[in-house]
Amino acid sequence: MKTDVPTSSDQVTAVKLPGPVARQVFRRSLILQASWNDQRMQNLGLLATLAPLLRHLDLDRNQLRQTCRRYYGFFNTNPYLASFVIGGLLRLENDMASGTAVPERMVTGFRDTLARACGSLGDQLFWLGLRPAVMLAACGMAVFWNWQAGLVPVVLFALGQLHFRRRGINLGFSLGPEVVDVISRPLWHRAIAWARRAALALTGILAGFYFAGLLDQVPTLGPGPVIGCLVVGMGLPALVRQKASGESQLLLSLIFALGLALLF
Amino acid sequence: MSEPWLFWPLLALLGALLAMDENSLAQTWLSQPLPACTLAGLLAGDPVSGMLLGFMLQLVVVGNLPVGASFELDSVSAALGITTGAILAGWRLDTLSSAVGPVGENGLAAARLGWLIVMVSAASLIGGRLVKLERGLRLGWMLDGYRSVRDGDLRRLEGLHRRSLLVTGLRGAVLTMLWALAIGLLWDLGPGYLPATVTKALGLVPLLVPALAVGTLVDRFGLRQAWPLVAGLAVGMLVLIKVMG
Repeated sequence: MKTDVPTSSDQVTAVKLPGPVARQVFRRSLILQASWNDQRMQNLGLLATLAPLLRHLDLDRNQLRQTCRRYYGFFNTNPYLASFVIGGLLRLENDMASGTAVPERMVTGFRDTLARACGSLGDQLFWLGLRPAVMLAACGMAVFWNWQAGLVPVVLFALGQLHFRRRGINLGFSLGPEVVDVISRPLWHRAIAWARRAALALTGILAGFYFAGLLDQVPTLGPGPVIGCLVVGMGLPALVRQKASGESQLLLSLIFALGLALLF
Repeated sequence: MSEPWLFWPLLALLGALLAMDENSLAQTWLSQPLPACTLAGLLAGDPVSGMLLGFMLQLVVVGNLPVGASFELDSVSAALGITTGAILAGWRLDTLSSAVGPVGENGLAAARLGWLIVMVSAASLIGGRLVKLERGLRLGWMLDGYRSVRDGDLRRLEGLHRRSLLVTGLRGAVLTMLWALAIGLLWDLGPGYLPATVTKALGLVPLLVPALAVGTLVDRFGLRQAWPLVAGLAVGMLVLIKVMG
């Protein structure tokens, strides 16, 4: 078995994935969710992501079987923060292959605990905070500037998240199980709070434009349809309470629009 | 686009890449409706109309959380295909303000925009059935991959994973082309052909969408820390009132 990769007993600064393995793992980490399934979610994706290192370590057939068994169970986390989990797991696999005593329970415990933490943090930061903020900023820039400007926040996010994910794998590998300390830093919660504030402020700006635009429409449309649209649009999401997608809500609101068209 | 023979392969490629980007590949958010429709518009020769439809669709999906299997939708192919099909059929929109109004040219423009928003929403829900089917296929392949636990064959797992990605790309390409062709065929049956009440109701959709987005986001975030919302609201109203004189 090949172990030219340093182990956890070496200096932390010296611990790096070999270049070609790091590049392959990074590329595969971007398609972690490609085989997402209802039963075990990202398990196949995780194994496919770890495969370049497993191949590099030149494990024998029995070790490969054990590794496949270890990772074939349930695995699910946020795709943007998954790189920390992947990096940490690569390090543990590397340590095991080099003869360091790493109990299997520790590997699965590390995987499950960190995946849950990253899933929760990542969903709040990326899906509930950054995505509405970035997309509302892009909408504003596109409508009030030009269409090219609308692409700028999205491209910046795309490049930033690629860099962040690459760094996550390297950091996870160099720190090993200690990467948990990075995820438990209060910085993440501050980032979530600021992303949500930004999204709320941009929602407010959108609402402000909308209300001002509606006031402008009162003389031509009449107060009935304007107030009706406002009440239906603002009230429907509160009625369905996150159970229906935006598309379903839109189609549902069409019934009210028909009612308004008949009334006024 | 100057080379028409290149248009359909490029549209299929864009559909495949963005469908993969939504959940399977990188998740760069280029597959979100605003950039996706702008790119589709660019390909069809009118990025401004694409962007304006994308803006509206972005507000429709702004509260959708793509966590796990929370929603089975295919908004990417629907947005791409319908934007492209509409622009190819001759639809043009220069500003959002030209698509607001009860009657006349503005009313018809509003109804057309509303009709496209409704079509994309319906197509997204229909495409979601295929997404569900695809997830079923992936589950079968994942169970097939269990053989690697017995023989340690990594190549089989990698193959199954790649196959899943390719199927997502294929779905995106096929559905995008299909929606583009369908909207081209249905274009003449839209506002103008429909009863006046339906056309009027469709004209109200562009007014409903921002209210739905604001309502959804307020519902998501809650009003416990409402000061950024109130500050943004004041800024937004002041800016627009100043702009409109």
